Amino acid sequence: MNRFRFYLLLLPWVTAVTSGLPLPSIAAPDAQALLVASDAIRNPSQPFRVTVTLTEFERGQQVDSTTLTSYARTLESGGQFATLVRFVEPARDAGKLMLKNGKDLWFFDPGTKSSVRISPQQRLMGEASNGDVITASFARDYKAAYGAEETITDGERKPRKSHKLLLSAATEDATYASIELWVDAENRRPIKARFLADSGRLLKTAYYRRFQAQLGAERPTETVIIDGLNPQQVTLVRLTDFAARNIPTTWFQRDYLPRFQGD
Amino acid sequence: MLAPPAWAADDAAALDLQPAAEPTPSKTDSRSLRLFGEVAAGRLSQRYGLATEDTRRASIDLNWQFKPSPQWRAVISDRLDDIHPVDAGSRSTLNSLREAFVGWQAENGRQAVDLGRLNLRYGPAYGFNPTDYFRDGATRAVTSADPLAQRENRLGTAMLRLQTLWDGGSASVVLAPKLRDGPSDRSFSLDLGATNHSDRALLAVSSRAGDSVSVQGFVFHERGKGLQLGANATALLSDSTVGFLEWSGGKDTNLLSETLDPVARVERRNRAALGLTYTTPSRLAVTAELEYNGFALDKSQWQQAVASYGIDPLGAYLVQVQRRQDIASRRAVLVYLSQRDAFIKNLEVTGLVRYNAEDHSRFAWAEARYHWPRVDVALQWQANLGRSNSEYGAVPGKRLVQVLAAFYY
Repeated sequence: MNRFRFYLLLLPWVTAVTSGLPLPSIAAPDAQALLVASDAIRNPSQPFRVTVTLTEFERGQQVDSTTLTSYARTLESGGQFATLVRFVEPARDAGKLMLKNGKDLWFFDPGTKSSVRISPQQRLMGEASNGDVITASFARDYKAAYGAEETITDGERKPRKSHKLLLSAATEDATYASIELWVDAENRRPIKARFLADSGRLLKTAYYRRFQAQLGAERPTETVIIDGLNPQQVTLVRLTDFAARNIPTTWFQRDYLPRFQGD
Repeated sequence: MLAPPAWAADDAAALDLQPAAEPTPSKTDSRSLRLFGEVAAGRLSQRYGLATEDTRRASIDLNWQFKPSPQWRAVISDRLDDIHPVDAGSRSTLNSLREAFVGWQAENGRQAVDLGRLNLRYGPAYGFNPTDYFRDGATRAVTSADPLAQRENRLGTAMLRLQTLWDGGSASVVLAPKLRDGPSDRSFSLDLGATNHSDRALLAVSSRAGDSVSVQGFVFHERGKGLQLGANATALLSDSTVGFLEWSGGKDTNLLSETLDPVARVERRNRAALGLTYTTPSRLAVTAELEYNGFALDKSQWQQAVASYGIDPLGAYLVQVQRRQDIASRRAVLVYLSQRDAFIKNLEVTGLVRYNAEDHSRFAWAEARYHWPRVDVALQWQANLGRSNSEYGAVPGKRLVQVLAAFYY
């Protein structure tokens, strides 16, 4: 290549720098599209039921276990999931219900017949927050920006090439101020997420793993959640018994809770 | 004694953790029988020179649901309490058939019919629920001062309920006929006279009123008393705060007149409760509730009643108020605290203070409860505090300390 042709190639860059225009670059992947694809792997698109087992550890020792049945669906096309959770184990909590529909969060106790509105800060199940057991579309509540391409250690402790997405809350329903999400560069699977408060403080880290064919896609069936403030506290969220269910929309309101019978 | 091996608190160590037992998919949630037993023993110190007494209680609690098809269900809920000592006039063994009903609902869940004894409860407040129209006479055996625990013992009312639901709301019509004249203290009585002592009808409409507000409206009629209108609302005020409001106004009997007069005087008054629940980042939930009962005595009426009748008839007034699940004073305050995993994992500490804003007497109750997978063990303490002619200061029982164990199957 002669010197003249070399300057011609550089010209657009020099012009851009001197004129203040953005530099032409290799296009970054569409962050929001990656987020939508990752959501579609985490969450089935049709109404479904799944058994959720939470196992809590402190300093490496198992200290508690809770089993729940979760029923989830979107109430409108493109809308956020509504989730109805029934406690199965321990026996003292069997039959209790938690309902999440938008900002509405209700707890129903069949013993007292009372439906109590609770705030997101009120936790019903050990160290896991209510948000850890509900189904949520990140793409609906967060705006994604592309971070970087990184190779990280996944939940099976293997190196994996990924896209790092930076999610910031875009609706009032968003539980976290921001999320860092790593998505598998090869297949868009979610690998890891760091959930952050307004202050930037790390609230929790989650690893998605044990991918299995469930309801039409390879989905993560276990999430390892590490507390951000106290990393000694770890919760395994195991999902089993996925099943598509024709769940009526009327289930997802306070007045239905006393009549809920499951299936 | 060897110290447990140190655990490296990093992501790699967390990823190596495995549950002690694999989840068992066959363990479904269609549990049709819930059963638990409870035993308690304590010591009660009393006023008026009465001797300190040992107390004991044994309870069996069952809830059985039979579903012959997805649309039909039959429910039996029963509790048997053996309590020593008991108040005069009460039996030591009391069976409470809380619920016995059959229910049908359409496949899409939009229409439902229930017939039988049904525990229908409304109202978001913790200690006093003006819109809970079927609370009158519903508590047959009082085994705990915790208002939330008291609701577990509550009798349902024999009724026909028709309900229709739409997305975000519902409407119900309830017809509850008179079946007996008054309550029974026989051990195994159905006690329909406690809950169905007059003809009553209720229309209830519920709706979401925005993203984080829910409201309910009521029209209630009781034969011989008249009409009451009511409303309640709950709202999420922030990520850590829930607010609630209840109001009911209309015709009901004056509580003192109901206790002392041959024919109770019907008045038009209001009842209301207003409160907040705030949860701290350390998961301490604090509820503060202001309560108002226009049918109860204010300070001057209480003093006048003491001067006219003496303190003993007012004891009957307090028993009647408890039977009605009302509050005895015109104005009262409730503070309720609950801390999960207090100090150590699985230890739950709960406490409440009821404050009579007219005579400044107080009732305090606290419990520390430790949970194992199928067993709870709790230590409870309660005290009635106040001057001798006040609501809580006049109660014979001064202090109670008891331990209890609950077994879940």
